Amino acid sequence: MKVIRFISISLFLFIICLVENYLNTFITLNFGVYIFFISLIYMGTEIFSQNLVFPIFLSGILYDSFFSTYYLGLYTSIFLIVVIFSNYLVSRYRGSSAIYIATISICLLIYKIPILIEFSLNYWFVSYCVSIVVNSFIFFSLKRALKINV
Amino acid sequence: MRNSQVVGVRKYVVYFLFIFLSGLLSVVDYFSNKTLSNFIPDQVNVISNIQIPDRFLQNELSNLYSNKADLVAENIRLKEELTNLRVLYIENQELQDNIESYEDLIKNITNFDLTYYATSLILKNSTDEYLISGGRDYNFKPGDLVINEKGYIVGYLGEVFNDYSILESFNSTNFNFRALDSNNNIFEVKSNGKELIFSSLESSLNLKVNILFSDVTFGHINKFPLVDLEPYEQTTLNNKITVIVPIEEILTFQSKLFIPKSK
Repeated sequence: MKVIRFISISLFLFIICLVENYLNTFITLNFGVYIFFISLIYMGTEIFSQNLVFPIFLSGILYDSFFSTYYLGLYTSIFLIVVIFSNYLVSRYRGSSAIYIATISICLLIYKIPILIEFSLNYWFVSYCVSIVVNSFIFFSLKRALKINV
Repeated sequence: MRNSQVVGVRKYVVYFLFIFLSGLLSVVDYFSNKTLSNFIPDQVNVISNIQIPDRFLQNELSNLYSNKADLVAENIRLKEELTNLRVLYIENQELQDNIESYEDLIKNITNFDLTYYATSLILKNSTDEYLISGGRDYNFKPGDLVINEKGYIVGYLGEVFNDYSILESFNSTNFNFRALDSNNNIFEVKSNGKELIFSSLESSLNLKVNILFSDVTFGHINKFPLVDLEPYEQTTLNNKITVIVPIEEILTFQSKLFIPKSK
C-alpha cells in the first residue's frame, strides 16, 4: 500500500513537471510559470515530510531520464535541494510574506541553475525577476486556496 | 533549544542521503557515457504510445450538458458519421499541412538525393532545449542537422531516444557548431541564449563574410545554409572575424522542421 502511494505521488509529481514544460513551451513571453517548482516550494514549506523524499527523487529521475540532456541525478538533486532550502528558510525565519518571496527567489535561482551557469546575467535576469512575481502570486493563491479548503 | 536544533538538522538527513545517491548516479552516468540515463528512455516508446482520443479531438466535452432525450438513435448515427468525417477532416488538414511544408522546402533546397523527414515540436525542457518527434525509429543519430522549411539550419540533435530526440537549437545552453563560409574559413558558433557568436578559427583575409554553411568535413550530411552574416557588423581582430547575431526565430508548435538523412 505504501509503495503504491509512493509511486502514485511520484507519477503525479512527474505529470505536474510535464505540464510545466508544456506550459512553458506555449508561453513565449519573457517569464516562466513553474508549477512544479511551486509544488516543490509548497511541499518544502507547508507539508514537509521525510515521506516525500522518495516521490521527489523518483520524479527527478524520470525527468532526468526523459527530458534532460544532463547526467542522471542532476535535476533530482536540484529538486531535493529546493525542498530542503525552502523548508530551512521558512522554518528558520518564520512566516512573513517577505520570507516566502525571498525563499521563492533563492530557490528559483537553484531551480534554474543549469541555465544561470551557462548564460550571462543579461539573458536571464529580467525573465527571472518577472518569474518571481508571477510564481509568488501563484504560490500565495494556491496556499490561500488550500487553506480555505482545509 | 538544542533539542529543537538537532531535530531541525535530523529532519533533512534522509534528503541529504538521497542527494548523495543522486550525486552517485551522476558519477556513474558520467563514467558509463550516459548509459544509465538512457536506460529508461531506451526501454519505452513515450511519444508513439500517447494518442489523443478522437473524442477529445471532437470537443465532446461541450456536450456534457445535453439532455438524455437528445440521445436518440438517429442522432448517435449522425454524430458517429460526423465524428468520422471530422477525423478525416483533421487527417486531411494534417496531410495538407505536410504537403505545404514539403512544397516550401522543395523551393529552397537543391539536394534531392536526401530524404527529408518531417518532425515537429513536442515540448521545451527546463534548459530551453526542444523535444522533437522521431528518434531511433527513423534512424536519427546525435549530430543530425535539423532544418526549417527555408532550408536553413535551426539546430542539431543532441540526444536521440526511441521515438523522440532532443534538439540543440540556437538558444540552447549546449549549442556548439562549426560551419564554413564561401572562402572555406572555419567558423565556430556558440550561443549565449540571446545571441549567436560566430568566431573564425583561422586568420582570414579582411573580406566580408556572407552565408555560412554546414559541411561534410564536420560530419554533417550535406551543405546547408546556417546564417547570412552580411547584414551584421563584423569585427576583425588579429585577422580573425567575430560576428554577433541576435536570435530572432523562436521555434513554436507551428514551426516546420525537417531532418535530412541519406537514402
